[in-house]
Amino acid sequence: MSDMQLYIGSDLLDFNGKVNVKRQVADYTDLSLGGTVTSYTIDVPLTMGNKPKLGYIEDVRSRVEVTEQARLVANGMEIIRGKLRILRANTEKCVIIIEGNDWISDISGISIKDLSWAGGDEHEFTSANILASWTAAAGAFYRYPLINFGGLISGDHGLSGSDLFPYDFYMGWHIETIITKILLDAGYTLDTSGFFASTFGRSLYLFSDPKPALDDFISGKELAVSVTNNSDNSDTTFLGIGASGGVNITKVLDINTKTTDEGNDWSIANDRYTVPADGTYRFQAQIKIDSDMNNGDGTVYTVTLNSLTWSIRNNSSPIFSYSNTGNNLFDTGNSFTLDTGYIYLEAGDHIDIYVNAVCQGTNISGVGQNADIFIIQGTISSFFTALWSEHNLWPGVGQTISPSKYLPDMDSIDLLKGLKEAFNLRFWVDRNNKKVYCETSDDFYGSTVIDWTDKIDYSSLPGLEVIASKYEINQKFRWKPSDGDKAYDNFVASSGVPFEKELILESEYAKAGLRDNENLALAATVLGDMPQIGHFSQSKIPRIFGGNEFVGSGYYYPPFRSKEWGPRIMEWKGMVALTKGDFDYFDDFEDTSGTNYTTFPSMETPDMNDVFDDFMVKDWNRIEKNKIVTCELVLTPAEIMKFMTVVGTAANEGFRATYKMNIEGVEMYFMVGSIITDGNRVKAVLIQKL
Amino acid sequence: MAITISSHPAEVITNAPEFTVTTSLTEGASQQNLRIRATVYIGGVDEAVAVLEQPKGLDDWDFFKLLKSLTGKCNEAVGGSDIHVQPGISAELLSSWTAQLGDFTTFSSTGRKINSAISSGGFGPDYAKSNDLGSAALGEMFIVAVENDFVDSGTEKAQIALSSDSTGFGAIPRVNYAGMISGELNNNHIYFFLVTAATSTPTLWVGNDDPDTNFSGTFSVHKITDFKDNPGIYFQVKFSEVYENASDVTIVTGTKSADTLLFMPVSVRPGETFSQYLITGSGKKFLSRAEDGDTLYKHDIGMELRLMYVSVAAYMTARVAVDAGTNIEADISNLGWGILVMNSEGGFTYNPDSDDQSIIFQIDAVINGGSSIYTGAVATVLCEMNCYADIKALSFIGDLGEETVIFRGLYTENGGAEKSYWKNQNRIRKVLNAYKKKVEILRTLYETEGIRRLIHQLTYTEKDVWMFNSDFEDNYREVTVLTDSVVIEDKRTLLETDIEVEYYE
Repeated sequence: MSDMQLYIGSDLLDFNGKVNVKRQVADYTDLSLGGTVTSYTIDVPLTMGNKPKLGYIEDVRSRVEVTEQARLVANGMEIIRGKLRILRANTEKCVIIIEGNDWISDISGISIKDLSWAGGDEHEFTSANILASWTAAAGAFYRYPLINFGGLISGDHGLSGSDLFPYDFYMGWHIETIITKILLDAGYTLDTSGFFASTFGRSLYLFSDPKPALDDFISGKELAVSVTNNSDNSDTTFLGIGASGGVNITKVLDINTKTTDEGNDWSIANDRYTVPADGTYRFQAQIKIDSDMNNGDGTVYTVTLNSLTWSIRNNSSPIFSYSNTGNNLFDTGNSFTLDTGYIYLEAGDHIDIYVNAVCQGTNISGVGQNADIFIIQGTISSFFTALWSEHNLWPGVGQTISPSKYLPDMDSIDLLKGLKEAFNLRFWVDRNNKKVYCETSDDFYGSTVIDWTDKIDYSSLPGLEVIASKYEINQKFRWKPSDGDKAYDNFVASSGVPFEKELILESEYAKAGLRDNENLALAATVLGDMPQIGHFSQSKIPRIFGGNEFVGSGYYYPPFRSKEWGPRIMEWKGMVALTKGDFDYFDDFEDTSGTNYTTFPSMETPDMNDVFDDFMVKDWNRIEKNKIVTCELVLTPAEIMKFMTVVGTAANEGFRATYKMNIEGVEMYFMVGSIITDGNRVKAVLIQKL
Repeated sequence: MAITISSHPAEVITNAPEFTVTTSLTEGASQQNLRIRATVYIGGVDEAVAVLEQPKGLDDWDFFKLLKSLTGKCNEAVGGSDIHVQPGISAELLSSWTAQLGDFTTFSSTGRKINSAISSGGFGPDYAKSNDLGSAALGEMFIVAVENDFVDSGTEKAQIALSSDSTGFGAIPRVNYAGMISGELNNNHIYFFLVTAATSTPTLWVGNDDPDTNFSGTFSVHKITDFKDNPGIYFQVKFSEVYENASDVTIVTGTKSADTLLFMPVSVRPGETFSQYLITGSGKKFLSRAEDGDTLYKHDIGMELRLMYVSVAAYMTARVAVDAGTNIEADISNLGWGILVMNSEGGFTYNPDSDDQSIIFQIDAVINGGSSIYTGAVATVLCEMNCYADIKALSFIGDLGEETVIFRGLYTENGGAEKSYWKNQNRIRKVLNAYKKKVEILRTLYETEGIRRLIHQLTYTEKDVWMFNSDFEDNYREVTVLTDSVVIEDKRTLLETDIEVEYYE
């Protein structure tokens, strides 16, 4: 007699059957398989009462789809709840299944960059943020590690003290935050005490694949403009004998000569550059100022004030400014330059140069005469130019770095699978509380022991399966190859696959052959020297090289950053000592007081040998030595319920407890891999634990 | 938003743990997948034992099967010396009262007794607070007895609450007991408090949230120290509203606790009500043997008779009256359920010296403040002195709790084996595995209508069955009743009815 009720929403269906539901957290015959919660097929009679509840599915004209959740209740206990899937129907019955793991389909097919990232998840590409990321507390959403991408922006190469700028860095994203967002978007929360709350779990970052601008961006934008006439930016005033007064230039620099303007972006009428497209720009400007009111002509004027403030502006707001005072400031031939470095601008921004030059003094020449000041004309004296190179393809200062753009275009489920494979994780979903528990295998199975000896139903004999027979003798564990990464390829050619763990099973029952357990989604980054900063023969710094030829002998790195590499997993190590070499870090090209670093912001790909020792060795010992026991059990509703939802303490019950059973006089300890239940009897797949 | 528990058991002890629970929330974009969650706690377990959910619209909850699956046979070994078995209890925890809150115009107390607590006018709660009751860990059970002298003539009736706050009564977690019969405390009545939120300073509060109280009486507080494997289960259900909000985040809110109740896993006969078994006044019944009215005790080594009762009364007396006139009495601090025990070895021993000598088992609730009025359950036990070979008894959980049926002895015994074979090179079967077991067929000792029903119950009991046999090492062995039908055509055939049991030897 069936004691099952089938509900759609709160509607009870006419149903008198018996259905099994499978709940699985791990399959030790194939560790790559994860959790499953689904019912077996259910034959629902199409009674008059059931037809409307099932959307008149037997009528081919019906377009009604049932959207409410289905629930199967046995002995007053819900054994599965989830998405109703109608497979087929005829006039008498409808065949359905209930999927309790619909959270996986909820996140499947959604790229991590398309999650519901909001403004608070973004940051600005600034020197301050890059520096802050080096020392931010655990769990920081982004960090900018030192990666050897090839030639430095500064072009420096040497034993030590090379200059690094913000533009030399690229970001990695905090994996725990991404996982939390994936689950949140699917309506689930990540339990706060699991793998990602551990020190190691929190230190994992997904280093972004490159998102450079298209090469077209740096073509057709050459710009070189200059001051046409001295009089265009000048001031004159007459000072009588002994008179005091001054001249000044306070204006947007009048530039009327276009030497080059490929994009026709400079307006002579408005003396400004209109940014043609969003992207990273670099401008240099120089002005040369002359005035007869300076100490060099001290027999004519007594100078009381010479001052200069000038800036390159964006929409009238200074981007970079220079200010100075001094009686010799305007001696003939004195020139002043500004370099914006790589800044991010948006289409329509207006870039101009604003000058405020002031000379004040007293005429001591004994004759009245004109005092003047002017900006010297000419393409080599006072000019404004745009600089273009490969570096303009990368983020510029001021750019908003949003996860929706800079995270890899990676399917959420692929990231979860990649992490699950890498760290031997177990995911268990408490659907009632919409909470996902993620633990390493070692932590997932708790030490709380529950005795199931009296629960075994010997109506069918417990079956034993040798786990090792499912596995090849040779097992290799490796990260995904780093496609398009010449540094990786070179490493493989010279030293073999990096971070690879090789395991040879000792079990006589293992199959002949090799299984390559290559990570589905996450690539490795090799370590090496960084001669650009004098880091030789230590091989501590991750490197990612593109296909460009190396710079040359001794300069065994490409001149520019690669534009292709796959997303890769990295562990944040903090600021690590550079035992050889050092570097000076500058905020920008106008920064003259750089900070010397003998440590560097370090991220490394976890070595599979360490990962194996930390997260897999126990399971692989079980695979080698232990057995799977399949047996039938009779459990109370309260006991079965603990495989569905957290009832008391998550770590001590359901799939996470350790079960003791005395089988034929032998006491053994087990973990539960899966259960199939109709609410009364349970067929359990148990993995011998000890 | 609010949860309303519109229907719940009428007494603190029930065999029908059923509730009707509704929520005022409505399904919508900000409250999707609206459902009610029931989190079930039981005495002696330091965390929830079950979490169930039903969507809004399914308002009726029945925890019978769930709770029954958690019950067990009283784990008090046979042959003990106790006249009476009940959950183990602590010493008295209550020692004093203070007027903690309110506008009491009169308040005086002596020890456990509140002599007078009268409030008039003013506003706000008026409560008397007990001394610190010690500690209250999750899963611990307090039993509060409102003794016989309790009188409440106030406009606002006194209520009781177990609180974790020793100083105030504001925003503090407290276990309120809202299910008092007729909305007010009954005298000579017990109330249960299961601790579902641990506290180091539990206190008992008596009073009302509104002024104008006028009550007096003596109270008693004990904590249960041994649940005896839960023949009856103290439980509490917390109902919560659960939904996913507009951001698809699961929200659990509006939690409301039902009162702590004692569940007895019994099914009364059609036409009867469970209240007929609650010993509060005259005409009540023992649970076990209740269908019979009287029973038979076979004096033999290891044989033991147990009679189970349930009662909400605070004052109880267990009494055994032998027809020769000897009374043996014991006062009981009632904890809801208990078992009277008679055997041939213990301190409460009665060895009948003649056939059909009768013994009256009696559990009395003391009413009207007097100690001489006994009106509880009565069971008469007839003693059997005849000698039978291989007397057997089956003890099991029947419709009304733990029962014992005596059989006149072995009728048929099959020493059996369960074997599997393989064939050797001579094509003869060889034993691969063999497990020995024994099948016995028993016949009843005497005939009554009650025995017929018990025999029937034996065929469908889901719980374990124990067979008494003095040859067994500890006198009892777990067996399985294989018989699944009983046909009785006349009274005599009952004595020829076979009950087949199987056990491992």
